[in-house]
Amino acid sequence: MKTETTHCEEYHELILLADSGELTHDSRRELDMHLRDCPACAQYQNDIRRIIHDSREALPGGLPSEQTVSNIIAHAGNRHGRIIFFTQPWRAVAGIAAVLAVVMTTYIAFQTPEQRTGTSAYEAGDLHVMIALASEGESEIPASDSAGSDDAQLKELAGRLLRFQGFNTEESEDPEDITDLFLPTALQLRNTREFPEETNV
Amino acid sequence: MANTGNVKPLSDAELIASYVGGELNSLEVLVNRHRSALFGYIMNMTANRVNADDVFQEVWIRAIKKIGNFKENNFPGWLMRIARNHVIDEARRKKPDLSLDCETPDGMSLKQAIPNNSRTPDREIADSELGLKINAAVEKLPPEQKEVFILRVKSDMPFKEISRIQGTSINTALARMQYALTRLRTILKDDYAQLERAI
Repeated sequence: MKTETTHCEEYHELILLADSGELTHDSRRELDMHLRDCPACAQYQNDIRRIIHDSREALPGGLPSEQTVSNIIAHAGNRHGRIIFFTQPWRAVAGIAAVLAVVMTTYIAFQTPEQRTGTSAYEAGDLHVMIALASEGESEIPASDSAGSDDAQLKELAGRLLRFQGFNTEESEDPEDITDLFLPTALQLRNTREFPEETNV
Repeated sequence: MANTGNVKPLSDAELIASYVGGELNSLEVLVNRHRSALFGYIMNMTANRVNADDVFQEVWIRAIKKIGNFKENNFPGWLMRIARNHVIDEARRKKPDLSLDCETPDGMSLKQAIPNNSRTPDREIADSELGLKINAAVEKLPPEQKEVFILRVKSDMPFKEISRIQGTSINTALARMQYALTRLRTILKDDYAQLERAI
């Protein structure tokens, strides 16, 4: 059998729960009924409410300094980018793509023409000799129909070579293919120029 | 005409989602919303104000680090558990700081000697004899009882959450609060009786 004290101590717990808003409606009604009939518990409720109120005022409290709050927000701002990066994949992908684009652009911009075309310095030199030969031949070729046709062909090839050297990146032919095309024509023109009379005779 | 209708403030969960989604201001709202309760707990569980500011900042830094994974319902409880762990870590790591209970050459405790700038004119109790008695009594409570008392009184935490923070049952948390209140009631009985007579 419960003593009166034990019985009241159970209500003391209910008083605490009522003040913290954790009491069910039914328990609250039961507590109110008890408090009406028990002056000791009613006094206990008054006392602890007063102690809690006064303690709330008396104990150290206040707020953190503005500087502390600013430091926290600044830290959150720094960290925020990383959170976004890992929680939103599309942003991460866009970020990686942007970095790659910058790296590729920088790499291409600082490449030499030889690196860009993939030809060696020696091969490029050969092409220059051939262009010079072609130009020389162009100025001395007779204005016959066949020679005119060769001339046009030569000009076109020379133009393609020049474009290939970096003046026009739209051309993408393999340098070896161009050399194969260009060299026989250049040699033929050279022979024509060097031995025209013998050929005619 | 400006809209004067009441706008329901965002919940903690909504603010967290907003912050994780890119809105830094949402975190600022969270910090300001819970700063009083959190700082009140830290202030009473650490030795001095400077240390309380440091702990407050460290707790939030830890919280921000893990906030992307926060899945619970009770954000202040989660925050308070981080604070409690930090306070315990600090207490283990460091030698005891200069306590506010240390006596000055005049025989006063530091808490009595140092003016509390956070007090406002309407908080007269803090500076009164009654206030000093309450502070002294709370300081002398066993640590678990003191913590329950602080969490309930200064941080306004419900007992369900206090029991979770302490890793105990709600009945134990209630019992600790009752012991603390009974002790304070005994100490303050005469003062309250005097006040009653004065009125």
